[in-house]
Amino acid sequence: MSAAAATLVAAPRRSSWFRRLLQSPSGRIGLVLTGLVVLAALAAVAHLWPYDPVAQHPLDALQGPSGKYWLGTDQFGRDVFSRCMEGTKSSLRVALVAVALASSVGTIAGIAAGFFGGVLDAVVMRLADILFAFPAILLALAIVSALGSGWFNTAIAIAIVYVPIFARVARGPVLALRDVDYVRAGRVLGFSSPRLLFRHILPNVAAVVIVQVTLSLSWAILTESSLSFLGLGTQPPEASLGLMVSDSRALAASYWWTLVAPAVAITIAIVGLNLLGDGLRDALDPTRAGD
Amino acid sequence: MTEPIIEASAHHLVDDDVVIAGGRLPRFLRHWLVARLGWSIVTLLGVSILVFLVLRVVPGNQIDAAFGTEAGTLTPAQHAALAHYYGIDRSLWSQYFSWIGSVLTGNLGLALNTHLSVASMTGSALPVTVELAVLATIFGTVTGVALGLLASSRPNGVRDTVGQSIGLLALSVPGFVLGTAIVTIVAAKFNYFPNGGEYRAPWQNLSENAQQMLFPALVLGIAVAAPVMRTTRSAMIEIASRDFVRTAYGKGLSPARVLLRHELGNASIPIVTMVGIQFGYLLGGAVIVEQIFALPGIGRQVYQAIEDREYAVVQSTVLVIAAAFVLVNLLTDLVYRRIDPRVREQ
Repeated sequence: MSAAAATLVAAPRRSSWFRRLLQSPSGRIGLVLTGLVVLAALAAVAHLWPYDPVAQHPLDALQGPSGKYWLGTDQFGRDVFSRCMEGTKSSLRVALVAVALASSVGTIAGIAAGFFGGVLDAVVMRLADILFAFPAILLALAIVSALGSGWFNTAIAIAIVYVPIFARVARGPVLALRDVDYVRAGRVLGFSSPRLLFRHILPNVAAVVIVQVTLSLSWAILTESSLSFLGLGTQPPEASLGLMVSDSRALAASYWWTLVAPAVAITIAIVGLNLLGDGLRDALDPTRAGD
Repeated sequence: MTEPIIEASAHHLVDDDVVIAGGRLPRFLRHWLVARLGWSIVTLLGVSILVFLVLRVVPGNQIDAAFGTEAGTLTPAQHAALAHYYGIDRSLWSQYFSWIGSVLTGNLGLALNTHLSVASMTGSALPVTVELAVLATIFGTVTGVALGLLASSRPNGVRDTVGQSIGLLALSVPGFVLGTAIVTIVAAKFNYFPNGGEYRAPWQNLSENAQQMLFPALVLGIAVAAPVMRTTRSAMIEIASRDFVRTAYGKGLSPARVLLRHELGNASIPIVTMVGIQFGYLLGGAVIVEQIFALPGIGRQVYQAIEDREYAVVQSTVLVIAAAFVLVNLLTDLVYRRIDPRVREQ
């Protein structure tokens, strides 16, 4: 997606950050791993899997990895590879919805707080403080228990946990930019607040928000799979990586693949997004543009 | 521990005339503490409102929870009587104030199923979590700082790449995966089932306590070690290029002394902050590990209460955890201010 955009737009700045991303090892590995995860999820959406992930093959229960079942089967004879694909899709769906909600609400709140200051700033930041007063997983747990389990409620719970992070991340640069010469010049020239915000401030906030989005996606996947592991996230029969790990507890001693397959799938997604976030942070940082 | 840090900090703070002396808190710190305490109380009030409101969103109510499907067979009069009994027929404000009023007098409510007070449940659960968090923090800090020092000793070298990869992996493998793997392996190989016995405090039975705590502390400690390692690495790399480090070498000090006293001394400021954040997180974030290893800690108390739909227990326990979290953050800030003279003006 980014590659296509970069070549199409051919804006010098944009292609140069993308080149910088490809130059860093963490950026490259992160891009490849994230690409793999996205591909697996898209294939699952298109039902391009070797077996239906909920189809049971009782005669083939608990088979090891083989040419027939690439990552073996679980206790109901369901194909572990296909279930990992669907689980990746479930996790990514929750993470995307959660981070989309959190980043839009949080970024708008943070920019508004930083730009307008005063009472609005105080209120937004105190609300953020209150949400920060909980360990993240506990807050998500409490919200999910209130809303009821299911993927969308899980996404909302994770979104609420991450809103204050985006608000803080976006507010910082806005505070610094508010008194920068070119913004002051715009104000003197009589530019409207929306114009100042969207044309002059938002582009400068975009970099930190993009990095935060990438890192938050990895945390969201972690949180989603943790909640699913506890039975509060994605509900069966839909496959979920956290539930697969939970189900493997009684089996993994003799049938290792039931644990290793979903564990590796989760780890690939989280490692990939973490590396991509690190790579993007370095690539988008204008102070490193000369490197 | 504090002394070398302050001395080391003072090396590049020649323009700062005051270095904190041991003993009583300096005045600026006392003022700051009062303001910070006030803020913490306001935050906690906000937290209590949020917790209260979140749990009021719950579909169904305490009557459905207590009676299950039988709730449908209740007559309207019985329903009203029960609503009055549970206090859910009153206005939201009146419910909130009566709850917060009892909390302030030390009454955290009752679990309806077991008739145990939340205060006594918390009293037995909190020490388990605190022990777990302390052990995990010690393990995580030692490992994290050691790995961070190793990685930063030659930035971008082999050691650094290996160290950073380990750190990334530790950051990325979820606790529930690691916990499940350990339980499975340990149970299969050593025929040891962590979910077996009742919790034993260290003063009751040290060896049994160690057995119960070892693996969960390890799992949580790895999660603590990763961010501590990253913080240590970046702080050490940044500090190594500072003038006062060069001066220290120029004075002819041994590399070990410069490393430990001058570099690590200054790096300890961000490290302490990170360790504090992680410790606070463990107080409520240990819920999954407590669940896997069947440790009756505070996180498990919340989870169990959610499962049993004991909303009063969830509500008060979450408030207790948030209060502990706010307190730990306050202490972290205090330590941070104590060891870093630069921030005292703020």
